[in-house]
Amino acid sequence: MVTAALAASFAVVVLLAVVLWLSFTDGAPGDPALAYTLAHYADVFLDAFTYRVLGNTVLFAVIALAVALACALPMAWLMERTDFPGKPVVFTLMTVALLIPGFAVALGWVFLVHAKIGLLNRALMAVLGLGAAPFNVATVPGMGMVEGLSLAPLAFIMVAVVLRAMDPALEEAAAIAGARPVAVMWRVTLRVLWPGLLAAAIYVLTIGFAAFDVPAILGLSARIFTFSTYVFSALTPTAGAPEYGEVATLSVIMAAIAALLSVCYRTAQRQAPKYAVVTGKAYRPRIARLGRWRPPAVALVTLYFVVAQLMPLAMLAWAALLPYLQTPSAAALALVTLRNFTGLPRALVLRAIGNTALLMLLVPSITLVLSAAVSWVVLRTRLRGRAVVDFLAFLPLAIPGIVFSVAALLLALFVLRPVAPIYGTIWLLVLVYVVARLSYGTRMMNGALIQIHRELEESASICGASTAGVLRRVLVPLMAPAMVYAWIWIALLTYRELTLPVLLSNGSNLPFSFLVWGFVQASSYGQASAASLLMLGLMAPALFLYWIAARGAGMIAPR
Amino acid sequence: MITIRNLAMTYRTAHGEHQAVRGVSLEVKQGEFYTLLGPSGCGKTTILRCVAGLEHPDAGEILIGGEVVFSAERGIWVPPHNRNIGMVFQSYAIWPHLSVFENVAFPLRIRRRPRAEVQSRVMRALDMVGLAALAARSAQLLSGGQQQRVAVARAIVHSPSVLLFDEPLSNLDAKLRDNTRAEIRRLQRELNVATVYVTHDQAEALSLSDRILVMREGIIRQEGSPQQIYAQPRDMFVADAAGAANFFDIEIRGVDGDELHGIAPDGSIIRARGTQAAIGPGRVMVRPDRLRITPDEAAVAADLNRLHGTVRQRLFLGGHFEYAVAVGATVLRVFSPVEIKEQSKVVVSFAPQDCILLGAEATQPQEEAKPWA
Repeated sequence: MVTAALAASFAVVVLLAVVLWLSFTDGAPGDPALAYTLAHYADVFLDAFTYRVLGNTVLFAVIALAVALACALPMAWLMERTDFPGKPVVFTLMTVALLIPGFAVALGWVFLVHAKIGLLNRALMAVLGLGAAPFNVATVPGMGMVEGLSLAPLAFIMVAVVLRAMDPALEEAAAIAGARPVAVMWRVTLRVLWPGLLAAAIYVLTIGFAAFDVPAILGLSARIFTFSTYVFSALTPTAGAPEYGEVATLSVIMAAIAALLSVCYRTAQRQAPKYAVVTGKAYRPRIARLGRWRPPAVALVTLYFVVAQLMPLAMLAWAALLPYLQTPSAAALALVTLRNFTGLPRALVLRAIGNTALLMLLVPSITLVLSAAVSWVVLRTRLRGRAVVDFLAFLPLAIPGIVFSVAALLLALFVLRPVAPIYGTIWLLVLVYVVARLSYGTRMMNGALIQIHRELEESASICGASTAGVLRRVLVPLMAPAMVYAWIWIALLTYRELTLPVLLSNGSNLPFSFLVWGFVQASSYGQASAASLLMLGLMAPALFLYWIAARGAGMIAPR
Repeated sequence: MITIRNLAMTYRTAHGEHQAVRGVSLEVKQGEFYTLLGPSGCGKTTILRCVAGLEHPDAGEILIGGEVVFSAERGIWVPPHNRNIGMVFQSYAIWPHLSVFENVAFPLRIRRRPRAEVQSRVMRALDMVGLAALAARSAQLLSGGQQQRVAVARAIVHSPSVLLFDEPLSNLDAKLRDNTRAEIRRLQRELNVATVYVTHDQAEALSLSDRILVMREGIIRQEGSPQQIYAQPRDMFVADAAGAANFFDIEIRGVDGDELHGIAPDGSIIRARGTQAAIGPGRVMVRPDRLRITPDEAAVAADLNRLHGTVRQRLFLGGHFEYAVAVGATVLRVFSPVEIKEQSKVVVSFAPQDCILLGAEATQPQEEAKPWA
């Protein structure tokens, strides 16, 4: 257990250390005459373009947050605090939306509101007689809005948890003291939940800051960069060799900003329980009756799903079925063909499916073993330095995916090449996927382990069980539901992941998401759509499995 | 001050329906301390929440101070913020983001009372609960007992026409509970306001109330003064809810008005009280503190019932002993200051008026675990 926990910590340290080291070195890495320098930092900080990218990223993340909260807050309130009909359906759909690959939705948005080819733009131009496209998705606000719509499910689930953790008696007491519902909301609910809501908002902001899928698919071709895509494009220059030192420096800066946001998140999160009145009593939430507001509420939630999820995915399907994109019409319907599907390079698709399947088996299993070890060391032992292990396992949460991608690339190219040439193999992907999911895994395992009273283990050892026996006979069976749930969840995240493999994949170790990315980069949008659809279709059984496990673990449906 | 007529409420959850209250009517007078007593899930809290306006009942009518606040028939439901009530929650519901003073001031602030009035009334309310010194403190820094008192101050600060308590003492430790109990009683007397108090604790109910309503599964089992509920319970459930009780079966041989006599488990003839007694089998109740035991039968007064048994177990409880005495197949609990050795032959005696014939009931109350039984 201890060895596994140390291995996990070591992997995190090595990945980040490589990036840090390269950001301070000059010359070709691996060169014995390597010199330490601050030149990269000077270059980056003196380049005006860096600040433009920073400004873009901040604007992008803030707009994404605003849009996500605007969708999530009312919906979370409707689900947690009103008699909204069919809540489990909404929760299930939200969870599914959380797992739909971001690039697939982004692709759908390209077809909808791209300045040149966007169907919504063309339709509005035709109807309103406009000379130019009313929307342009390849702008920072456009990308921010799309990102916001796809972050809404995450924000929704975080806000819902916050709303659920409040003792409804606090609101009831205000009502009895004479406060009208609006006054209760303003003077009690929002004030009490403020730290929790703030933490959720910072978390969503962090994710938006690090987002890659949406700015990559919508912005790269128009050369509108956020930090993630800027790092990516710096590593894949159109001409010449990449400036590894500068990329490392950018990554360090990005990681530092993200880490700062995470510190804010941790601080806000620590404030949250200060206000939570923990009585150990199962809360029966105060349910407001919607009455005649029920139809508009249902309409609002439906509108979100239609606009944010259904519309882009429908566009994806439409684009996949046509040889070239055009407005839906009878004439267009006649052109419908499966050529985009049949024309997919079969061998490559099969290899991508095989790779993805392998990743989905290995990554959750390894992650959970390591996470369980870390949790056990942190919560159940008195080893010195266990706080460091805890911190290192939390760190990946703060690091943007693209930085991990860079880190793994640099590690494979400059450190591991002589000893373990894993560049271009699936093992490099396994390594970086596992490290990136470590924080999620440990948080899940911490949650599960904390709920198991220590005396359950102690009594087993009193009864004569060895450490391994306690593990096998008590801990694992008790943690099994949480482990199964976390396993499937990590597997699904692995399936939808594009950021981590984007710098590490080639024709042989590519996962399915990278295949789609390849089509996008080659501007074969029809094939990209077809491949995305295929991916979504293959995801369905896994989603169903998840749904069963989540219901078993009580994770879906408010109550 | 509070009138409830034929109140009924059903909870609909994912697991099905639960009839929490099934046709309850009651009346609480001005200044009266009225307690709803029963085990968890009996519907007592639901009734309280219906009075507060925190639930929407399905049927019936609720009046507060003569004004209809709920009527299913007439489609009236006054929201809680318009009912002018004060309520103390089980979790106290102290707002963590406000100071002690602001917590208590909240009902006045909502009513937009002038600053000077808020100041003086809040301080008076805090004075009444003995917390004036802590007015500026953050509510998060209070102990459980202090939170409870802030909750009481907040409930009374705006002179509500009705006070509601939802198990307010259940989260306090035993010693604090006793003190706070006395304080609540004193405050309520002082304010002379109609009060509904929900509890499952028989000692609280008996000591605080003017009247007690014993509930089970959403139905009223008995209403009466604490003395009536304790001494003349209608059935086993009420007897059990109101305190420690012994039950045993007798064979009724004769009835004379509300007096009867019959054969006890040990074969003795005993006398008991029962208004609707009939010849045949019956079940009687005697409180353990009304039983006396002695090894010496000659010392027992002539007009007392007597049963012959053997001491099976003795527990020393400080103020008295608790004995388990086997009488025939029945085991009786006896509280007595007299010290008698285990396995002694004893006579258990009690007055006929302390032995109550119980009414029939469909289901038995849950028996406490009796290790010697």
